[in-house]
Amino acid sequence: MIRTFATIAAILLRVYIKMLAPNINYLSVVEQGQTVARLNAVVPQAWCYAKEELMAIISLKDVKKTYPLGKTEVHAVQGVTVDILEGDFISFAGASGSGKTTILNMIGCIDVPTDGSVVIEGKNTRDLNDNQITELRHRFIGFIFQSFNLIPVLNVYENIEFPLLLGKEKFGKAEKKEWIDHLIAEVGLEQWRHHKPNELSGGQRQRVAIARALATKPKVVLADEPTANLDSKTGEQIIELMKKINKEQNTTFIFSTHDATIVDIADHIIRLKDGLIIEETRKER
Amino acid sequence: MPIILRIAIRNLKEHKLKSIIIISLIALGMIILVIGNSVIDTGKAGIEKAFIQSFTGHILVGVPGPNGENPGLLGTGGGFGPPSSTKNGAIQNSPEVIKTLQEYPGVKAYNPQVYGAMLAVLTGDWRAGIGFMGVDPVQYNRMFPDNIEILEGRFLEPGEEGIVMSKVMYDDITIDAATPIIIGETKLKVQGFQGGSKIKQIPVIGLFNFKTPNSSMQELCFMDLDSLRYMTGMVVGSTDQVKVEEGDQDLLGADLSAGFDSFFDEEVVGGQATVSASLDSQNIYNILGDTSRREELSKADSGAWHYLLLKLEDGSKTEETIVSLNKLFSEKNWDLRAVNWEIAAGAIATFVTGAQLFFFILVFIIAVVCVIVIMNTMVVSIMERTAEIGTMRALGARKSYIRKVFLTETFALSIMGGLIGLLIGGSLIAILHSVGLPSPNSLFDLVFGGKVLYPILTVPSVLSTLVLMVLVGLLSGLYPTRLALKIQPIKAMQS
Repeated sequence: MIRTFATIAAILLRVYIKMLAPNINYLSVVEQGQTVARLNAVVPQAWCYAKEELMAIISLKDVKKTYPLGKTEVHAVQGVTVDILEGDFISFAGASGSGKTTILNMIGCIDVPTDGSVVIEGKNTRDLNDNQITELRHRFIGFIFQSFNLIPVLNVYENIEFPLLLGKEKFGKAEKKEWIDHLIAEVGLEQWRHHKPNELSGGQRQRVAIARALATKPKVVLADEPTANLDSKTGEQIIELMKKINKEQNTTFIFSTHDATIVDIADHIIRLKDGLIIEETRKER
Repeated sequence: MPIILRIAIRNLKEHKLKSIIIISLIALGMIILVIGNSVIDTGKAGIEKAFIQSFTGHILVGVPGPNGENPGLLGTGGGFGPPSSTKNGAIQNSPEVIKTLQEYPGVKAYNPQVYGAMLAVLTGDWRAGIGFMGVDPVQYNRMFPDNIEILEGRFLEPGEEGIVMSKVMYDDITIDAATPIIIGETKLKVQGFQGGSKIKQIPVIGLFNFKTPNSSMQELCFMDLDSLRYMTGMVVGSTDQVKVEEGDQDLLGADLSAGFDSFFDEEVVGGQATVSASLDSQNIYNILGDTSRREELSKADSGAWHYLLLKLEDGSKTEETIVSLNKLFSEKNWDLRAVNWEIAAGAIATFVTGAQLFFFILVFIIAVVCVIVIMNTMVVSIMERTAEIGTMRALGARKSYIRKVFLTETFALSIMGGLIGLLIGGSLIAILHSVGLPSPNSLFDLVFGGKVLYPILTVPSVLSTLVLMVLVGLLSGLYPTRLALKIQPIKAMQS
């Protein structure tokens, strides 16, 4: 009943948006966000389905992942369906082995589902070849790793610059420098720009990783247990930094964690157990 | 500096031990190559210079052997093959051939020669194999001025009968065979087999040394033309069809450089040389009746030569002159072939080429060992950097980018190792060039082109060696790079 109503509402919503702006494709992210916010203010829960159908930038449909383990199989993910909206701040929470990282890997196009589909920008990742996937990762997704994974021989500035040198887009030297300086300032590492990773603390390294993840201005930043190797205070600071960037730049953040204290900072919390979603909560933004 | 190069150089600094191992190996390979190449090149250049200046000139024109063997200074097929069956290997229409070659564009000097290997019959049962060159003294001195040093007696005068003996051969005979030779008095008994077995006593009129430091030809002696033509069957009445027994063919085509000891083989020395010329009625009459005709036919053929040596105005045009000469011979239907010094030198050049081949096999083995060790070191390094490679891939680096990263690293290692090796090898060559590298034995004399080698470095040799070492480095990097390309971005998450 709710689904039927939501479908009708989605059609009405499209008409409404068309009236607001004749070409929705040209609405800025902020304008789209404002439109959704306005809708959120006036529609009940059912509208959320309509909003998801309209704004989902990543869709996982009945995704399953099975790994062979010797003669047996491990069912890491057993059928997960999630829509991720632009500007979301999502946490996948769960104990070890619940499937958090596997789901993140599939969203980040560094792993493919055994069954089901991961749709990014309307394309099923299974249909893309290695170069297309690489290009999509580079343009669309930023990565923050649990172990920071900075390139050890490059300094802070060069690590942040690195992803910019991999794509087809050509930046002007001054433009590139200005952008990297902005990112360094954003993560508060102005004094450390010429330092190598081994000269930085864990928190500082993760800040570099955040800046690096944002370098190509991706729509989505994936963070796998970003606080696992940090003390609780630094971990909270990192999550707060991510949240701040999420609010300012409307960048979608998806992170996995088993730390209950930081799970609640997310707007959209997905709790997993044994490869299945056991709870999904969406807060008002 | 591009980021790939920055990553490569800093990684080399970061993994010092790995870098030192690989750079040392490449440097070692480079040192061996630089010194080896230099020794071989300098030796070959020395031999080339010695042969062109003193023995072969730029081009030798002679009659190919019966099976198409190349003509050579010591007979066809580089001294191994028998002379041509036609007139005992003599050039046909030699006056016309000489005139044509003498006037050929680019020819500076010419020298016709006769060559014959025979036995010197010494005290007791001793026999010594000697290679004789029969030359026109005037023409020879024009072609090879200041080529020999007369130690005792004199060189041949035109028309004079005699042997001018090399010091090396003289020492062999007087010391080993205990046969005293007094220059100007002793008549050496020599036995020739070409065109029939003949024995003649010829006075030894001089003792000499070749001035070139090349020891490979030091045993060659000179004999006056008429005697040598007679001994080698180049007589007025020589028949076109001379049947030479197989045992004798070994003697006739014996390779001097292979050592004169071969003449002492019991089988060879004890063998009976027989000749069966066609026995028609005229021959029978000549033998049994009037002998004047036979004496006439036994006179040396004054127009007969085995080969002609040519010196060119410009040595760099040797190959093109050879091509045009061979075309001319073909057009005129002359049974002649022009060859360069290397072919003319025959077995000696072949020996140097063999030494070169041996060196290259050695280099190949070293290269393979280098490739394996470098490859192993690189594989270990890649295993250690799995997370880094995975991260690069996750951040959007294509496989081609990863390939560039690792090939740049191996290239940088190869260049560094190559340059260090070049520096050390070059310094060693510079030292050897100033002090000289003495040849330890006669085998090395051949490779060195003399008793002492003063090696030099040539630009092409250095460049080719450097390119080879860089290729070795890159080749070693191929398999590890392939392994790196197999690393999936998910490895970044698993670190």
